[in-house]
Amino acid sequence: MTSFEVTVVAFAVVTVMMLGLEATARQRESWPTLGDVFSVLVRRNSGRFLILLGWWWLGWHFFVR
Amino acid sequence: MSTQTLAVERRRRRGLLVAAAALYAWIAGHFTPFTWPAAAVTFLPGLIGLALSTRLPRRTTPRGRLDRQGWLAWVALITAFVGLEAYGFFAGSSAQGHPTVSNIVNHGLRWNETRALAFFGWLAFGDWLLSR
Repeated sequence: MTSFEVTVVAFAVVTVMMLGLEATARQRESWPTLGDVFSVLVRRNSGRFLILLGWWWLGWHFFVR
Repeated sequence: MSTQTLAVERRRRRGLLVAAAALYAWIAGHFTPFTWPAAAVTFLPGLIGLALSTRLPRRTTPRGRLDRQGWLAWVALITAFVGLEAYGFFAGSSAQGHPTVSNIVNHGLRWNETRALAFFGWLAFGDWLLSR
């Protein structure tokens, strides 16, 4: 396997694990979902602003640059 | 006005918003990156999102007493993802050697249709963030 393929597989594994964790959290009431993670991050106005700034940068990065 | 009428009206407005976002994303997907129209259609929703971020009321509150193991699992996976991204970036960030997410995703954003779909997903993600 090339280093490119190894990195892509590693990203895929982490992403699938995140999806698995989200599915698990939705079945177990006591486990945090990704929504809970973001709810904590945006608890304060400054956090919400920074997260939205990150979202804006993401769009700029993928669709403009 | 009854509760049912309000619910129907809310659904109708939501449907119109989704349709407008889909149309906007379709148009945005047809602009070539590195051009001013692409910059303008990306700048506008970002500006609106940022402006709303300090004005919209919270719609969710963090749930208390959640399992510590669950939090640790999220921290571990997010750290792994950021670590892979940082490794790819500092190792040269190329589409041949060690790619970052950008290198991988850019393969799929070559076509107008996929770019439009991704743009719609980006708008939906922003809406979801604002609904937190």
